[in-house]
Amino acid sequence: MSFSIEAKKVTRTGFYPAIILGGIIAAAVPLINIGARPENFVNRDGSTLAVILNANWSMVSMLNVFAVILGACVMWNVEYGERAIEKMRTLPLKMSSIVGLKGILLLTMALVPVILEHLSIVLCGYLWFAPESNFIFDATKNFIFSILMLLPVCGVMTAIASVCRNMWISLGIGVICVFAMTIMGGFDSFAVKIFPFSLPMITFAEAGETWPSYGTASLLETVIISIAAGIIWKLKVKSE
Amino acid sequence: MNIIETSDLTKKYGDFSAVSGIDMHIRKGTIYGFLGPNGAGKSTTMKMLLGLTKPTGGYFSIDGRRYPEDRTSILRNVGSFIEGPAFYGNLTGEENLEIIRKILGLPRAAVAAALKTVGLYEARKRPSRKYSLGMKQRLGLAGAIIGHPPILILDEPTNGLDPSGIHEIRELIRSLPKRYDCTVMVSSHLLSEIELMADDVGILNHGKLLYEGTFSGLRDFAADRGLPSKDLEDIFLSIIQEDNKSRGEIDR
Amino acid sequence: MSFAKYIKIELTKLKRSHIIWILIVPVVILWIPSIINSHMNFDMAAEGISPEDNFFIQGFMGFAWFMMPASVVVGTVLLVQTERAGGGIRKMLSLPVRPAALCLSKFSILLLLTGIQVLFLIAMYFLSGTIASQMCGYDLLLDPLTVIKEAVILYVSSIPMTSVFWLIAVLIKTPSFSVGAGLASIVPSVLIMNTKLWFIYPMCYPFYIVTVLQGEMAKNFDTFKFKSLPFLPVAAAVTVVCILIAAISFGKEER
Repeated sequence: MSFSIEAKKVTRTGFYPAIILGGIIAAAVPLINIGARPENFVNRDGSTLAVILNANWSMVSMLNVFAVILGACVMWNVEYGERAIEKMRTLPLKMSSIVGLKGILLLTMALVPVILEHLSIVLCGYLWFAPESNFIFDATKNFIFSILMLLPVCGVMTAIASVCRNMWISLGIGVICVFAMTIMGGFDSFAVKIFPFSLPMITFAEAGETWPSYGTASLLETVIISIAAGIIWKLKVKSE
Repeated sequence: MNIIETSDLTKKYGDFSAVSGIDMHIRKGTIYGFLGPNGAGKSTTMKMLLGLTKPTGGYFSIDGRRYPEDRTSILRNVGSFIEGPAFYGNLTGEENLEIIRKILGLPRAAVAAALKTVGLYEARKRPSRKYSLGMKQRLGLAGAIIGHPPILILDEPTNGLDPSGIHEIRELIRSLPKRYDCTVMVSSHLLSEIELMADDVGILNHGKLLYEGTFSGLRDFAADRGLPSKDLEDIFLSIIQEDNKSRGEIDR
Repeated sequence: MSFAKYIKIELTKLKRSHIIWILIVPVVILWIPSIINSHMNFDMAAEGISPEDNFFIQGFMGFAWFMMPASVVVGTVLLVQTERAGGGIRKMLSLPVRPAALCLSKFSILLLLTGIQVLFLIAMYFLSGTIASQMCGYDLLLDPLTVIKEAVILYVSSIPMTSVFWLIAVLIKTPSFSVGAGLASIVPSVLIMNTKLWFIYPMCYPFYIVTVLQGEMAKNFDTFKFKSLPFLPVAAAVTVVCILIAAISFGKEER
């Protein structure tokens, strides 16, 4: 019920089409990249999935993170634009539940690009490679892992955008975090890799046997972010 | 019986007192006119009643409920319109009310009823961003009266409306207590307007409640102080001026 | 009204926008790993690049590929949203101003913001270079004139990109699409840069230019050789066309 309200609020803002379009563009990346020069890829060492992901996932996952940042900005821009949030606060609602539901909406929408991208990866596999028998199974595992890895960034962006009246500030913070992630990418440390903006870049194969650590980190971060967002909103409401 | 009561309600921002120690009494089933010049603290007081801003002193009760313990039940029973309309510009008027309706758990028909009451039914399918100033104001009002809450807090509801719109909304507010058995607290900086709507009046200046009571009581109040007591507008202005003088401000 | 006045007005609108932090913070973040990893500049002998050249070029590359275009996108959001939020654009267009001049002054602000960021980049380069030099006991700083020259080239190479982003912001009213298009266009620039048609994609110009410079500095590192044709005329044409279309379309909806 309340979820449908949050979903309704972002209609006609371009929220849905922009994320879907972003997903289509991201899904097109492996098709174009490999399709344009399959000879560069087909003979590489490693499994089909690994070759496809190595060649494309950094770009694809970056587009996913952008979609999350943009989605969060738009969701809250609607609230602050015509002071709608002030009306919301006069209704019998908890701000924390609005924040939470928006986070869930963002994650739900973020699934769209991830689904499209994995379909495209599978398509690439069958079009230009001779996929191994476990190709689909591995792709499915990677799909689930990717969703798990997106949790913290959805949470953190929802929280950041919820307290920024001005959209360029939340957008600015978002891109700076992505930038920090690209800059820190050189450090080969677990602590850097579990930064919410870095997690989506990691593939299941890359995580390898340490995937439970990444999974735990992701879930833990999401919990911490949710609690932090709740506290921030409590303080914000109190201070007014 | 008083449905809204405040006791020594105070709001300070640093060393500036927006509202200082007011004791308000709003009788059930009446219209309470909350009068004061711009910046007197009317909006701040109303925001405190809605829990939008925290009092720095004193307390209040709404229908026996206290903030913050009973926040949800207060908000469920109070329709409000604070500091101008607030809505989702990307949604139509109807969709905006639909959101409020769902949150309040009202029947479907409530949206159309509210739209008709404020005269926005024809424009219900248009994006609210494209509404005129008066229409945005009506949308804001519709969001307050939807579902006929027992208490309405309206902050300068006729701002931005044309004379016929002002008349229409005034008549609407006037009719509310009888129609829906509700209590209305309405603010304005125009006594003439309050006079036409309200049963009781509270006059606020610089965060202090200078007078509270009926209009006839207001005349006596002025007469007792040797102020002009015939024309209500004169009474209001002289009460404010007298108060300003007493705080050492220049009489303009 | 003189153009300088337009600019002055636009600058006033930026007050309390906090945009300066969004320009400074990434530049600070950029150089921190460079300081921490400064010892790695000495392991680049295989590429034939000197430690001081490497220190410089790594920082500039990190900036040019992502943060520079992303900052411009954020800048466009700032300019567009400040006008829309309080209906400011309606007021502006109801005053005796020329919409085209207004548009051009906003574009200049965008260029100014990038300029400020490049200045911070240089300042932080010298600061972090000094710290890193102290740490390594080796002078990692290049001659200031060289640094400024390269920074100016980098800045100029970003102008076509800025004009494209500005055109997108003017033409596409829905922030989801204009910002989305801006962000999404940054990602494939690395791919497009490696194709023959790189010069038709202004979003990759700054990174391309820095990569060319890297090629010049690293003797054993084969990257791109800079060819001014057809790059320069295409870049100039893109810039002029974008600015013109933006100026013509600016505020059409409100007028």
